Amino acid sequence: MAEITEESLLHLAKLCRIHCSPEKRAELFRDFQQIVSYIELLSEVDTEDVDPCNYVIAGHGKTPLREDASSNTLDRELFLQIAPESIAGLVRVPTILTSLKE
Amino acid sequence: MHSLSACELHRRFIAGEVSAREIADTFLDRIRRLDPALGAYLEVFEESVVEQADRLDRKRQGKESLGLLAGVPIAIKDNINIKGEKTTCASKFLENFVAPFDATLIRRIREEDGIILGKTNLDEFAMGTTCENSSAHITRNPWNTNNVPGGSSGGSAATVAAEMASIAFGSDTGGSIRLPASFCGISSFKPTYGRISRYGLVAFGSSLDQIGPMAYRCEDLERIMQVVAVPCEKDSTSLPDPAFSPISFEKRFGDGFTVGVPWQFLEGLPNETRALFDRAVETLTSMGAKVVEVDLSILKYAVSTYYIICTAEASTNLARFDGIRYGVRSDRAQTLDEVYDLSREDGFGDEVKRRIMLGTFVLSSGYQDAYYRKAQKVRQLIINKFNEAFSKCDCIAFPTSLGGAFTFEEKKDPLSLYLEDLYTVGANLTGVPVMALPSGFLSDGRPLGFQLFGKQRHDAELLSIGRAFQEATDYHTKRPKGGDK
Amino acid sequence: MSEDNWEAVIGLEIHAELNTASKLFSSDCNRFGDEPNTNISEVSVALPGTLPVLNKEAVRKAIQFGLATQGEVQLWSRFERKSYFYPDCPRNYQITQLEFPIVKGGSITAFVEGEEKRFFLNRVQLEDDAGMLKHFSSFAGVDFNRAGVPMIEIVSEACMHSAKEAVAYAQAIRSILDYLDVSDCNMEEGSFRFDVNVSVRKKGETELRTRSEIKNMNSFSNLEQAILFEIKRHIALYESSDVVDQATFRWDPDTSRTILMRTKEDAQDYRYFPDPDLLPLILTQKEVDAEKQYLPELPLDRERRFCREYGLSTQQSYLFTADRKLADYFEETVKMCDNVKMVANWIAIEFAGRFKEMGISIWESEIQPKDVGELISMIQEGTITGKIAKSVADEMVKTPGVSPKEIVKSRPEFQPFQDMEKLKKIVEEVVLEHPDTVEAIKNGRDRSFAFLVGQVMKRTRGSAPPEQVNKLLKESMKSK
Repeated sequence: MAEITEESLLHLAKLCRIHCSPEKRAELFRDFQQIVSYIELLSEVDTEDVDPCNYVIAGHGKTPLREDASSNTLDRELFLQIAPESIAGLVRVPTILTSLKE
Repeated sequence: MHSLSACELHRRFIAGEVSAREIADTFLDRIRRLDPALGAYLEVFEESVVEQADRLDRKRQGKESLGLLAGVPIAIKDNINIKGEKTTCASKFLENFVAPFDATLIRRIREEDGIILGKTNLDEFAMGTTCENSSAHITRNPWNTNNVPGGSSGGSAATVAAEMASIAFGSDTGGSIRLPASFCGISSFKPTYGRISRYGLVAFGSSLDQIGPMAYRCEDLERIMQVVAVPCEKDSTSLPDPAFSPISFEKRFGDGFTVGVPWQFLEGLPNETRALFDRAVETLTSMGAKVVEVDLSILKYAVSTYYIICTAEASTNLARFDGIRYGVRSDRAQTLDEVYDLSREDGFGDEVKRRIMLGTFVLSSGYQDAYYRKAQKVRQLIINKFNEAFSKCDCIAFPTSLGGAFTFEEKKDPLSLYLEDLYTVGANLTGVPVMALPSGFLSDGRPLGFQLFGKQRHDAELLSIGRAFQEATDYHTKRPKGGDK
Repeated sequence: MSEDNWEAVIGLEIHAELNTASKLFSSDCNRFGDEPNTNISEVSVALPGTLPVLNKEAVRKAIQFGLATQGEVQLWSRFERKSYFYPDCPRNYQITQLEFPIVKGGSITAFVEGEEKRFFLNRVQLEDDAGMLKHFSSFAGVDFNRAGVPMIEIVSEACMHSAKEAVAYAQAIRSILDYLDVSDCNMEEGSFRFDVNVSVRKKGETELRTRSEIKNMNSFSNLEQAILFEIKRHIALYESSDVVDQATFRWDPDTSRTILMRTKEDAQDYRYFPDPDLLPLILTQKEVDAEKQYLPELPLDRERRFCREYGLSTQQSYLFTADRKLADYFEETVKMCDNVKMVANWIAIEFAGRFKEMGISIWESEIQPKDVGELISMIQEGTITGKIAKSVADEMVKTPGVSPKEIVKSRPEFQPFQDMEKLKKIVEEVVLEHPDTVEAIKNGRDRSFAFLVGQVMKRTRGSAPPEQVNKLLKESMKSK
């Protein structure tokens, strides 16, 4: 049975970038615990000799391959218009203070 | 005119008995009068509809060839992209997002001259059972405006039920077309997984999602399936099967057919629901069906399995909503972290947040085996059980829900809402086609529906049974009171 | 520091962008250097409702690389979502292959400090690249041209034990990619990148100790320096009874040190799971085998052939075959003038030296193989001296594309000394002016002969053909 603590919930929120305000935390926490206990139901199913489902349609199952012909289908002006902020042809974001990723 | 089937409307238009403009004006007028009380639409394309209609009339006058949907007014759930129009997914996040491309569905409708009326309401990002999770407004059930229409395709269901469109499209991940259709007394169809292209549908649960049509009559579902159920090279999960083509029930099942019923699994049904379901099965018998019992007790685990898989997929599908490239970026955001955190905090409703967190949890390190991988294995078991069942029958009957539409805010508990999906998620987990047809009314007048699951890729067979069922019954001819008939 | 007691264990992850026309999962253009956000599509910037479709050519190139490294091309492989949030990653997940990559195993041979060594590959996986983040003073900007570009990630076994081995391995991989023409392998443009994992252990230990990961090295010399730095750092920690923490670093070329990026605690949970928008990649053995016919002569085979056909040493052979275009250049030049030794010298030493400052290779210049061949032929025929040839070479570099014959024609000081009568006179003068030297030579002091030759050369400004000078001197001395 997964131990859901407030700490683990906050860690989870950080992973998926869902900022949880203190007011909402208690409610979310309670709902979450309830749902997780429910899905625990699966632990009683014997899946010893079963492979995970890869794809549902029987008799089919090969990813189609696309010809390597190039075509830029999104106009840059339109893209930059849609973007919340842009500058000099780039999508603008606040400075990265620390290296968040690789 | 609004009560005519799509097929009949099309016929009259082609024959010159009615103009496209008359059709357009009728439906636009109806929407103006009825929708303020129902809230089915998020946006009505007033100008564009008139343009589309005028163009059709000119085409007909010029004796140009006209498509299979010429003259048919169609509504689209607002999680499907129409180029130049907003796709909001009923979310604050996308309230300003204008799609720069058409979904394949829309392209096909346009190619066959369908008239697109507007975008309908839904639960935010298709996550919900009542349409109450829309960030815009609620939608009311045309049969009783104190009741929910069902979700997540509540707007589309209400639109068709109130005859504010002949056909509407919704998306079905765990029952989101079938539940609202049944709550609203109309017919609906979720095709075999991959039958209708998902390109242009905002993804929720990628291995479960299917776009599907809703209308009062099966023949309209068949008509539109012919147009939109085609292979699509922009969707890797699209089936390469030839375009859908209706078949004759007499030819295929004239000698009888077999219906499987998981009686054991239905033991929890309330009496009235059970009575209506039994009556539907009797009707099938009268059509030549032999009824056999099938063992689908495994469905006890279906809701858990479904919620693990769909939220896992959704947590990654919704990761792209980060305020960077499109959508609403929080103006409080000073740092990059805040762009992500605050845009998503402001942009997403509670249910969406809950599901993203659950999805992240079941995929997270240390838990993935016990939850996500386990769920995929149980999914395979469910598929196996259905295969066993289908070896004995042509289709399997289920109720759509435990009861009829409930009132607003009656069910607030997330888990109790998830459990409403008990009878529907099996079709998404196994990829089989399924239709939900009106099967009668509860004593208080609320409509109810029943489902028939078919074998994978046997969509035409299933719909032919549906059409025959509607020839033997008249539930689908009833209309809600109020508004013009 | 007793480095001799310690053994380094090194593994390399190389990312090579494939040079397909379009991106891995969408049709937009795969091209470097264009205006930002011009090579995009709704799929590659992850607009809502978009879906990936796999590029056939990317698959073929991955197969070719697998075949070229004797890997096992998997007939069944699949794609996974790797989740992390970053502005250059449109979906906030990368589509990659973790559990079931397209190629498993394989090996390559590299030349390390005078000997051949074999190194083993663990896997090759297909994945899509992220866009580019450009940093400015108070903000950053994202260019999505690169988002979705196909890459293969080539993962080695942890089988290298020195920085030199790692560099040689990386160079050998690069050569193979170059020969196959599946990647531009351009480190400056980012189409060839590496991450390295380093750990050390006491010699004789079989277990692996904690490793650190280093990123952001964009040259082979950076790679070497970074590895050396980390090895030293690990050893120093162990020797002072401290521990090495598992962490990720980036190499800082300005301070020549590794800088901490992330500790193990901060490590990302990528939550890999199979991508439901894609079906498994299924190949037939026939399809895989069909790619064999497209394999060119590979670097190792060409190296062996160069040794055999041209009599080059292993060292020289590796040098000339590292780059396909250089090897092509070499062979074409040899065809022109048939003197392997001189071709080797002129390409690897003379011209290489002249192009070093420009930072290019001879094959990147406008100087044609036929011009180098012509230069060598002129030396062989005695039309110009070796010394003049060097000056001609300088001019060739200044005016690439102008043939040596034309250069010599236009510069009188490069002209060979034609007037034999005049040369005879000069020789006579020199002999007469140095009777003692002549005497010494006659008495067996052969070395002094060079002095006389030098005197003649001085008076002809080096343009007299040496063989003629020798001949005339000898004749002249005979009569004295």
